[in-house]
Amino acid sequence: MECQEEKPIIYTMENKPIVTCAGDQGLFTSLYTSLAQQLPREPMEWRRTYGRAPKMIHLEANFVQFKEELLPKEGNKALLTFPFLHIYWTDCCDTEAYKSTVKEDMTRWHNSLRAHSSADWVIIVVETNDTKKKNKTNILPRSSIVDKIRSDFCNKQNDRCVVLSDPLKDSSRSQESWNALLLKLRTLLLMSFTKNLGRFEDDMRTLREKRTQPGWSFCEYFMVQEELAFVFEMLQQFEDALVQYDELDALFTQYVLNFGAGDTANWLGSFCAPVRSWSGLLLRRPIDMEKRDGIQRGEASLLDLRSYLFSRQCTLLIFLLRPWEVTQRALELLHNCVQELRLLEVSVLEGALDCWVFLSCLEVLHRIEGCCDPAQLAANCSHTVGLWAYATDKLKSLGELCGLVSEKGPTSEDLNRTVDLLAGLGDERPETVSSLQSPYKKLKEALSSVEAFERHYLELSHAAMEMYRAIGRLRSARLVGKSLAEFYMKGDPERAEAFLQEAVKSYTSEGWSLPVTHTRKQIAECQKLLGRTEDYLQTSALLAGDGNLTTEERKHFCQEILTFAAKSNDQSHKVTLSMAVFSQLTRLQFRPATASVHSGAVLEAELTLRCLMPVSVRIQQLAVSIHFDLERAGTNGRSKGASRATNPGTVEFSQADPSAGPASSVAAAGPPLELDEIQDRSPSDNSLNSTGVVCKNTHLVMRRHDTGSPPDTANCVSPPALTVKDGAQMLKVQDVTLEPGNNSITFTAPSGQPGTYTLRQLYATVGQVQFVLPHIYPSVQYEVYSQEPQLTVEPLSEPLLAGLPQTVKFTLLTGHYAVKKGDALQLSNTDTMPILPSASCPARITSPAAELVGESALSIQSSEKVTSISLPATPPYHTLEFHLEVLCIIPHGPDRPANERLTNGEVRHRPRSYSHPDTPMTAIDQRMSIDCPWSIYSTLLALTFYIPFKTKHSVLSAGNRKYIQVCLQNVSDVNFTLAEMQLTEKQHELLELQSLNTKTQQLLCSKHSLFCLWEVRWKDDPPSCLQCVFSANFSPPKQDVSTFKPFHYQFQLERVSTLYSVRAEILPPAGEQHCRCGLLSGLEVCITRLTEATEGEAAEDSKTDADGPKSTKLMYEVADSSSNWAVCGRSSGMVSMPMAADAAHKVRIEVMPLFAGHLPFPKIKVLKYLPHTAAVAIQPDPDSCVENDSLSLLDKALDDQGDTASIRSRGSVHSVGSGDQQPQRGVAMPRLEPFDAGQVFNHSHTQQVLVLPATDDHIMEVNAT
Amino acid sequence: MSGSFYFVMVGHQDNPVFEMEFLPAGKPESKDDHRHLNQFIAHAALDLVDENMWLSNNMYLKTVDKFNEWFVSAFVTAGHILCTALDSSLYGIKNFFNDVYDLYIKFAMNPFYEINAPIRSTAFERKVQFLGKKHLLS
Repeated sequence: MECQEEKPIIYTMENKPIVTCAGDQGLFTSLYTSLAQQLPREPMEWRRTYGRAPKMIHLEANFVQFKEELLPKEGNKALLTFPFLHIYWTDCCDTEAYKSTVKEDMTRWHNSLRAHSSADWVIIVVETNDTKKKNKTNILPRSSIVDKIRSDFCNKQNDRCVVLSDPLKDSSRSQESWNALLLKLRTLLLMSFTKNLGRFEDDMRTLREKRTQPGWSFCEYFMVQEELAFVFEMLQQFEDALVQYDELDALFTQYVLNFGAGDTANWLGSFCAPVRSWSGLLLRRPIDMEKRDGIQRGEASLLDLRSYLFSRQCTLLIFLLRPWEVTQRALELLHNCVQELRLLEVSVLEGALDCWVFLSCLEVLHRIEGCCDPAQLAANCSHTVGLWAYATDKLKSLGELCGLVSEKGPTSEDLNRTVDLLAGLGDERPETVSSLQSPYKKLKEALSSVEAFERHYLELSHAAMEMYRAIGRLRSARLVGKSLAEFYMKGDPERAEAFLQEAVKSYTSEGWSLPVTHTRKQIAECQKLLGRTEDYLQTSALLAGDGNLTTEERKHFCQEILTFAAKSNDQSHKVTLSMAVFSQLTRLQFRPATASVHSGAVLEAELTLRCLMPVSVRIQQLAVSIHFDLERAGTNGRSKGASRATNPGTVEFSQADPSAGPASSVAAAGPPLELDEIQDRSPSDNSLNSTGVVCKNTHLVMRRHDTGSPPDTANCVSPPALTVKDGAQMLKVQDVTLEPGNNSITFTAPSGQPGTYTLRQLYATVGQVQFVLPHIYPSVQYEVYSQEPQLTVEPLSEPLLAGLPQTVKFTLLTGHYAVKKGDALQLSNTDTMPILPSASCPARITSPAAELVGESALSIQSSEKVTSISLPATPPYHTLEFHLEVLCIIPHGPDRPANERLTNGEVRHRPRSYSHPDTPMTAIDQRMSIDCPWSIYSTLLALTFYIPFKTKHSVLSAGNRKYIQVCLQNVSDVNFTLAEMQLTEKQHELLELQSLNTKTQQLLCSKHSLFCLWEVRWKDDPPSCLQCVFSANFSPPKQDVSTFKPFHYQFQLERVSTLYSVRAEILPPAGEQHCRCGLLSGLEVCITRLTEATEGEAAEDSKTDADGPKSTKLMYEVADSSSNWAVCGRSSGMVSMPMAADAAHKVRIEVMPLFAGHLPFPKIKVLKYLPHTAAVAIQPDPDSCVENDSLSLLDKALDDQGDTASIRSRGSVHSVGSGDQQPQRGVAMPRLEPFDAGQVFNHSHTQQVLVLPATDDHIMEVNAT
Repeated sequence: MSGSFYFVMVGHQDNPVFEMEFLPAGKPESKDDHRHLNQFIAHAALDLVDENMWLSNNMYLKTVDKFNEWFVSAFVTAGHILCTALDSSLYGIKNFFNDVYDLYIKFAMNPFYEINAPIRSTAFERKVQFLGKKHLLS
């Protein structure tokens, strides 16, 4: 049983709601144990006001004896001491006793309650069988006492009196009675809570609303709301309790923020007092009464208030099993407090806050460690690590403040400060006095000596770093590491550097430039301390090129390098640094841009280097090493460099900013892909099987570069491995001064040997320091080639026309051959293409870059066989150009002289004319043979000329008179003027050719023809054969007469004279004046021989008719190709003509006109009939030898068969029109031979005859189309 | 309060894309010392942003880290560009972030802008400056 005499100890977790007990103390004592046990057994639902969610609650109570003093006085707001329920116990069953004593006591009790307006009471009447038995004598109904009490006290509140039956018996009735009682008690308690707390909350709210009034005090209000929190805590409603504290926290925070915004509250004044104590949080007590008292008195400082508030929150959170929220809130609190103190402008001793934060961090961590097992702690270090890091940070700043990190140790001033700071800590709290590792002891110890500080600091730092690593917050770990490095710097720079390197890697890979710069500066310091010259210089170079530093700083670092470089004492101690930190190769440009020159030529490479140094740097030597490759030493020098495909001659080097400028996302993304195309070709026919792209630097690209190793670009201190090859060819310049920014340096590339030269490495030597770019990427190449001399001849203008002087261009690419003075080209002369001498023949010499180098006149000497052209001296790989005029003589005609021999003994190839498929002009290939000075072999060159004209001739006859017509067709694209067209005959002097052409000059346009006509007259015998030459002069139009060139056309005419004349007449049918359609008419053909037998004829026929009178056989044929006539009966026949003048033969043939109108005469053909030369065979029978006895429309003209000697075999009835084409061998068959043009003259050629329509024919044909 | 404010946008490779420092009117240019400190803090806070952004559906992550007087607030855009701000007042940050986000979206729609590349636009800078004045320094 509780001690009823003492005032209950409040402010412990043992608090329970107070229930007073009055009446029979003995009775209560007997029942207390079971009551106290059973009351919390069943939960009750607590319905809350203000829409708060109902809660199930286990009620407990602290039963105390009723005393007047316990009742709350007017205005007393205390809730913890508030009795929520008053019980009056009685087991009176005797009416008398009730009336005499109990009622009086009860009335007094009731009155005192009423006086304090406490309505939460209950009267319990305990009934036992014992009491019943005892009072059997004056028994009254059991209910009577209860009824009496009810009527006396419970005015309409009958439930305020409860009966408990046989409480100590173990019967069902007793149990039931207990349950009823407990339920009643719980209900009443809850009612009381609801009512009293509600009232309290209302009061509290009212108080809070008054906060804008002048006299309002936060501390007072704090106490009130905390009272509520206590009650909730008492009721185990920690969540609600925490809410109260959080509200207080928020309210206070708001005030502070308002203060910062200029809205001052009076009560805040007490919190603005200078901080005198910074003992840190105290979380080991549930309630820190000391601080609470301070708050109550309004004397607490801001830190006190915050500490107290947090300790309460912490307690509640731990009750709620939320330790990780404690750490989170702690970290927030510590930061906030620092802020708030600043906002409130509270004066704090320097370092005091650090002490406070440090202690508080450790205190929170200790508290958490105390309530969690190590495994839990390890798993949740993400929640605690912030506190560790914060503590580390603060300890470090304390160390700096107290001179514990300085190399000389603390000064007296530092010591004084330390003493002041320690004084503010006060005495160690009693709770931790016995603990060896209390935050208080730690801080005191750490501040006591340099060694202790170091120990503690390192311990904390490493712990924080480990934790950060463990949870993957690598950046934070590196930041701690960097801070640690700063500490290590004074004693152990090596370790410091390791930490800094790690940090700088991370910053570089993610492109944070300022941290990179800052860290690098520290690295440089470390390296200087460590005496690692090479690394130090490398870092210095990086820093010298770092735009984030001031110019002075950059100059300083640059000077460090230059100073070292200037030291010339030790030749062997050379330092090689990465070029990237010093300058960047941005561009490389070749001149000439093709990057391909012939051997010995000048190739310049212009490098653009962006120097990153802040001052100009003098470089002793700048060199590019070259890899020489014979393999692709092409002769034509066409380079295949991939880089040249887009921008020939210029290679742009894009590179990540090695100094990790503010924008190197490229660097963060990893190295660029180096891709190459691969092709898989079939070995047999070189056809493409497959193709693909291969990445050459997968090991770099695929490498994980987040945690382990970011791509070590230029930030790595050790310079990349170098392969400086000596003795190789190099591009070199001496003594260059690189100005900050872009510099252009021009190299002359070696170009001695033909081959491919690849630029590999770039070196810059500054005294002892050498900057090396180990790998020039993209790879840059140039080619040196060697070329044989080449001579080409080509027309200056296409096409070359024969017959006119034409200019051809000689181009000599000298290649590796230098043309000396006196060297000459020897051209073998040909008759058909003479080289025209010209007064001046200038030769142009151009350099490979197509620049004109010189011009000089050529001297051309012609001898009979050879034309010699003396060349001017020309350097190698130049182009020599000159023009020569040549004339291709048009061959006269079909005659071909015998082959001639050239001077060099070769068979002269007569130019042969042939027709070219592309042009209507006839082409002539002219070959030239040239002996060149650089070769023992002659160079053969061909030129194609085209004859601009096509000529045709024909003989026209008019009876015996003969005319020669020459048709000249201009097939070229050029117009010509023609003059002096002439026709001459070579053999017959007496022959007269009379020109019928009127104009002497004639324009012959392109694609047009010109016809010329001459009449042939002869004095005596007509010539059998004429050798004619047509000649004309031609020139392009509007040219001087002198430029006219002759054109000759030779042709031969044979059998020119007219042998026979054919005269036809159509005789109308008898009795008709005109021919009539459909009626047979007579065609009378008269063939007359005009001349005596000529020599040729005689020779031809001599064999057959050697003896008899000279006669010849002719075959005539009437054919009407236009179907105007139907030949009735025989259409052809044979006549024998004596070979004498005026011999005539008449033939009559029946023909029938098929149409009316003026019909042309049917065609009459006369052919030579040559009997077979064999003596025998069939006797020629003119009438039956060859005949066509069927009436036929002779639509198949014989002349269609041309000059093939065709014959229709006898009786070949079946094969009309399908003559046996080839004469049978062995059996000589008679032949038909047409006469030459002009040998037969047809008088009735194109004559017409009128044919009348058939008289009785009334049928009219109408063709409607 | 000190009132200065540092804002940085961080790209996908954790590289800073855009940086800006806001100083209250009348305050002299902060020391260089300060500038790198801002970056140190912002950089270290990326760890926490990485952790926190998966714990929330909101773009605005509130305060993710603290460093002495600095509060590090973060905002993650839909495209996972992190906006991180260091300040000491905590006022108006959310609105500032939202407005900058709007601005950034418009900027990123420029076809010539490559995501993750540093933003070098005076117009963007001027607008962010304006937003900073509007939300943070007022």
